[in-house]
Amino acid sequence: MSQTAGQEEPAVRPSTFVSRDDLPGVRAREEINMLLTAHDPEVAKANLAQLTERHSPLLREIAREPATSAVNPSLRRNAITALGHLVSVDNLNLLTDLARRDDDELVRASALTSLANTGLQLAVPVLADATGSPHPVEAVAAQKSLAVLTARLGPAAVEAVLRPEQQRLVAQTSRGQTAADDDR
Amino acid sequence: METSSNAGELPVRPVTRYGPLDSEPLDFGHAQRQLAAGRVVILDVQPTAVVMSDQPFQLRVKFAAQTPDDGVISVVTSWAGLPFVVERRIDAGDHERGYADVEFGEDQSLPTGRATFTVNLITESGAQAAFTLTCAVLPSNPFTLGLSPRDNFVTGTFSARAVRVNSAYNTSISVTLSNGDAAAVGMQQAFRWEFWDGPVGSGTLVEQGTGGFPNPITVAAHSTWSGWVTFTSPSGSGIYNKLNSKEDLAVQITMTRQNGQTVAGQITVRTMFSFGLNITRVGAESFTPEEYTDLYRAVDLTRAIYERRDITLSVDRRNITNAQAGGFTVITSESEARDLFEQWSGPNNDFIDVFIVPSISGTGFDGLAGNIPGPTSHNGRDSGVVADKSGFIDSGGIRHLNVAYLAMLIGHEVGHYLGLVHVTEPGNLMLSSSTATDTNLNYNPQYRTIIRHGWVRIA
Repeated sequence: MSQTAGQEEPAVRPSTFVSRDDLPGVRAREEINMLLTAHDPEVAKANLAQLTERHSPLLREIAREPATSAVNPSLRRNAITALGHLVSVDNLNLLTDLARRDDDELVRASALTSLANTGLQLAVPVLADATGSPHPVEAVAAQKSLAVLTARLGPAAVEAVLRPEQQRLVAQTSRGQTAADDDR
Repeated sequence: METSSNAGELPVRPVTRYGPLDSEPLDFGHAQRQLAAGRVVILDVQPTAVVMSDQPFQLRVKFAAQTPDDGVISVVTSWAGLPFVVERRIDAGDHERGYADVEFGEDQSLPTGRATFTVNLITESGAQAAFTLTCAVLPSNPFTLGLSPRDNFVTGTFSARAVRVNSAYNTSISVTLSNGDAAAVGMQQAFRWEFWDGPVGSGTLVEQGTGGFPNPITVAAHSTWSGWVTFTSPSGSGIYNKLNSKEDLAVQITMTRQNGQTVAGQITVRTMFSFGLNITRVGAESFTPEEYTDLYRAVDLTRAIYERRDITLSVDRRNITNAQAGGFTVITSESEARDLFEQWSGPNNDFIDVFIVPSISGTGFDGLAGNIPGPTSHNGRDSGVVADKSGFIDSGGIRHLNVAYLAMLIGHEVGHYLGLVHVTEPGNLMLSSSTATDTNLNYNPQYRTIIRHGWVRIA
């Protein structure tokens, strides 16, 4: 390899920043953006631990923001995740709404997973309905989420809030099916 | 044996919407109808005049909001050098006008080439909007020929890669003619090329020749024209011998205007260290055709991120069907990601396994590398990296991937596998919370760390 490979340093230009001293709303959004942007598990865990109920209103706003090609996709996904750790009426209502009605299958899948992470029995009917989704990722998310809740609450607690036709699904998912088929 | 050249032309693009990843401008009425309380949207970003090299300029950011909150517009500029930031505040007056101009001073002016502006607007209500725009910066002098690595659509100056294919080296470059004048410029189709060992003109001329573009060339006023040239240097040619000895070369291409004036550009050509990626779609049927295309555009961009530091990568495209993947289409824990590595790593081609999954949910992370550095085998729970495909639905209802973000994310996780740890250096790919514009790698220790990984070889 040549002597100079990898060594050329790029040119620089100065940055121009403005003060946020009298912009607390901007500062709050930038702080939460930072906490919602983690690539790796150890950073994500530490960041999620810093989010508290005072962040919930802004998290709900971010969880509703539509994605575009210019928007960091981790913000919305991780806001939905964070809401699953901050259980409140408003947060649960939003997660349920996203799980049932969002246009994006992947957003619905994230909301289903977050609902399961609440550990609440109330989430069971929403998850059970989604197990029959024609969208495979949503269906997998619902099945895995239901399995998580079943393991946590016990089959009896889950069955108690299911309609008869949904009970069949619980019986299937509680057997677990997350292992991949290794026949390639 | 002698080197031969082959040439073609590329589609013409408008200089103020120059990038394949640029945001679409939004219709004001449509955007206003969709604006919820507290929301803000960027309708469009355009320079107030054509951006000329080494001169101050302004970007006009058009936006709409439900409430006239104060806020900050922040513009990250990606160009041939390190990214930099220019900000301005907005207030009620800007809301009333519907736009705000962001000023780039003389010390923030840009050289001829492309520049990508990533614009973020945050208001006091906590609302945020974003927009991406690429412009061609035109020469003030006023006509230039620039060379860059072929098919790279990131900004930046870096070397062209010589790739060994059987018993020849292939080198592909893009040629861009930039016209900063108000009159069109006609060009002759023929070009002359020279490969030099050492500086052009004062080193040793290794090989030279001529070639031609297939069609007549006219560079419109305040516009650009782009083409490509591929050189094939067979075994025994002067260029082959130099590249095979791992020596850098400089290539110069000279073209002639119809008025007889010549214009030339040059770039370094070198072989690079190389590694391979098994890019594996997990749940293949869950990727739309557009997402499939976007995925490999992202991988091309990841390659460009590494080639800016003179390391290239090869790709093997792979997939796992929904039925085979089972629960792995939705990763909900680190342990599951490692199950995926354990059960699906391979084949044994000494490439890094990169699993792109439809969703990583409920975890707070969007990527994971098996270890730092990752192993040089396909066995065990450390062999691979996983990344969320980072998709979205566009305004037409079509599912896409966020190409720039995914390219960075793959690059970040692969960086861990190659031995890189998190850093705090602004703009660096290995920031723990790097964004789409954080793509820089440094020479020491990052380049020097990467090239020591057992799966990194001389290309």
